[in-house]
Amino acid sequence: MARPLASTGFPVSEEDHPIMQGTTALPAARQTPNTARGAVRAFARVTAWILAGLMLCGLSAGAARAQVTGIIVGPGAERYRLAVSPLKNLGSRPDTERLSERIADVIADDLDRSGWFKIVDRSAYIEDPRKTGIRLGSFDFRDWTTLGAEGLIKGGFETYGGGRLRFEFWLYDAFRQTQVIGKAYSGEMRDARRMAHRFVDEIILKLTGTRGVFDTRIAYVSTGKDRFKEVYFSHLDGTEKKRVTNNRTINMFPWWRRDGKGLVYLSVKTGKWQVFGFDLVTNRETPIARGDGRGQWSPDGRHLATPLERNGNHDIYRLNRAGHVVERLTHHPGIDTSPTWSPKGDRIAFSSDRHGSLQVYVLEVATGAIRRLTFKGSYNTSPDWSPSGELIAFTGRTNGVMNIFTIRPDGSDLRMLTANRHNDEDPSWAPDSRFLAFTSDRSGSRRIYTMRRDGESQRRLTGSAAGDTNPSWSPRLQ
Amino acid sequence: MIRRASELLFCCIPLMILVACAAPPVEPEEPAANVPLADGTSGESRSGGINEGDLAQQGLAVTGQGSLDALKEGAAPQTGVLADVYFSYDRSELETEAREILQRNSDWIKEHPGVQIEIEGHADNRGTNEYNLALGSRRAQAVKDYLVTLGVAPERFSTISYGEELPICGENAEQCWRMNRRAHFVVRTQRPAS
Repeated sequence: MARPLASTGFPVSEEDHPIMQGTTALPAARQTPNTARGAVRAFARVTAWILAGLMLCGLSAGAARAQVTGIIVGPGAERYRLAVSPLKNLGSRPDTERLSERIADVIADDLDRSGWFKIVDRSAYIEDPRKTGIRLGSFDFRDWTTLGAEGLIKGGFETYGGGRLRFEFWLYDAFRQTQVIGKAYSGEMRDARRMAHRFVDEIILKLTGTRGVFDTRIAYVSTGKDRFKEVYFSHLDGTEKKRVTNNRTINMFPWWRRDGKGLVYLSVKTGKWQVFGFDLVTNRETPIARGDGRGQWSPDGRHLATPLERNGNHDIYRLNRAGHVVERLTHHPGIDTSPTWSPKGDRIAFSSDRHGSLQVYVLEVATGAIRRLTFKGSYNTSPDWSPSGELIAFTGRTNGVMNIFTIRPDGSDLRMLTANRHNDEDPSWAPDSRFLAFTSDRSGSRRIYTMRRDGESQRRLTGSAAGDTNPSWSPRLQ
Repeated sequence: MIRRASELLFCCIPLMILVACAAPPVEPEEPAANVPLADGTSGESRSGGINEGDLAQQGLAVTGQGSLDALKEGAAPQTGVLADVYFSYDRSELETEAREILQRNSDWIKEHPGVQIEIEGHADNRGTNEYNLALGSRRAQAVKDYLVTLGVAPERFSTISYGEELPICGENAEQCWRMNRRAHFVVRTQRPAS
């Protein structure tokens, strides 16, 4: 049987077992009865235990940072200095996969991408890893505080036959010389990077109060040298790029299903534009409806909002799962496109040139009432409503180039997140509503980037042949 | 491939006569539509006072090639007897020059009642993919509407937008953008399956 695309780490069960600090024995895995997750369990390869109890305080002993949570997330906040030690081989097998460096790189890269941390220069490390351990008491914190590290990440691994392995990761407060997080993960070698991403998400949860988003995916469109546009998805660091479409035509506007196990996109593979659904578990593509733009599933997954063209005119329609029109939501000769649902599903933001310039509007689904949201500029489009509901991100043209903005759904608090002489387009929110993916041509051709919602920490995600566009950030993956 | 060959055959004979006799004036930068026929190339024959050449043998498309087909073949789409029309940035209104071209195109379409015409709408790469897809629809529709006012039955047309996805020019310059802001015509012998 062909391996489903989703099997690289989509359904992963994780069980947390808080135990007393300092305990080193792994607790036995608890079997939680949960019939709904039965099918998911069949895929499960990663199991995690908390090794040590979560500490109550923040990491830093610095006077200005008595409490870490809430301090490091603000714009302009000083970045927290973390050291990431190479991982220690805890087993007897040689490290043929170079896990020691590679996985430390994954952790350091994720932490750096978040923008909340400054990774202490790893060439400066003075500890001799052969003579030290990874658990409390088996190394000297002064080897790290000397380098200015406020926090220290240590980890170890053991590989087994059959491509299996186990990780043990620790986050220490280097000044207080205490454990903050301990986690163990076991599974298959091909999920090694994913286990590291999950540990970073735990660190971010601990230090910011909200879980990180590194164990998610970003779907996007890649243009090949042959100029065909196909849908792919990858990790945030661009690794494990998986191809979804392969029809050698044009495929656009991928958007994740709310359960993270499928995508919708627009394709002209049949010679007409059609919305297709792709199920990542069954690996099956299904035509949904004729379509003429980006489709987004409602939060309850029952309806697809998408523009449809009739006689050259685009309006927003609501379709059911079978692709039948339930309701025409807009009735205007202007171009109405880019519908995006509020998290409650009661409103839809969209863009329209109905009053001459292209602006973002908000529609009440129940009443059909439409309110104009944006007033500044003459080209505001591709809105995406944040999962938290607080903000709507959109693309706006300023001085002839596109930039990313956010605005509150009541029209207040307009902010410009990007400001350069190149084009930044197509924002897509991360599931934590703190990060955005977008397209930029700042490097010459179009690429996918991520940034925080305050515009900080803009990092490139992809770099494929002729360009990448239309990012969609996945929900959290189970 | 077979279908395309039959389309070519279907159109060739009347086309040759039309092009040779009427020689419709077209955009000078559209070489495919302004072909010297009796230039001694292979594939021509002499019959009465009419020079007849086989455009297909000269490697020229007479029907106009679909942009998506051209993409699949890794080639630039070729324009046939129906010349492309161009638009201003972010606009779908027909300019004077476009209306003149469409007048000529409508004459040809009326003289060939057996063919279906697909009108492709295109945009340049400024702006978002999605808005440009809609803008291309609007352009294709504007062209269709105008051809209908010139007396062509609306059933003869189908429209599709490719937005900014199938540019024929890749530079970031106005000259190039204008070439991409176009409506392109594909002559088909029958209504495409719906």
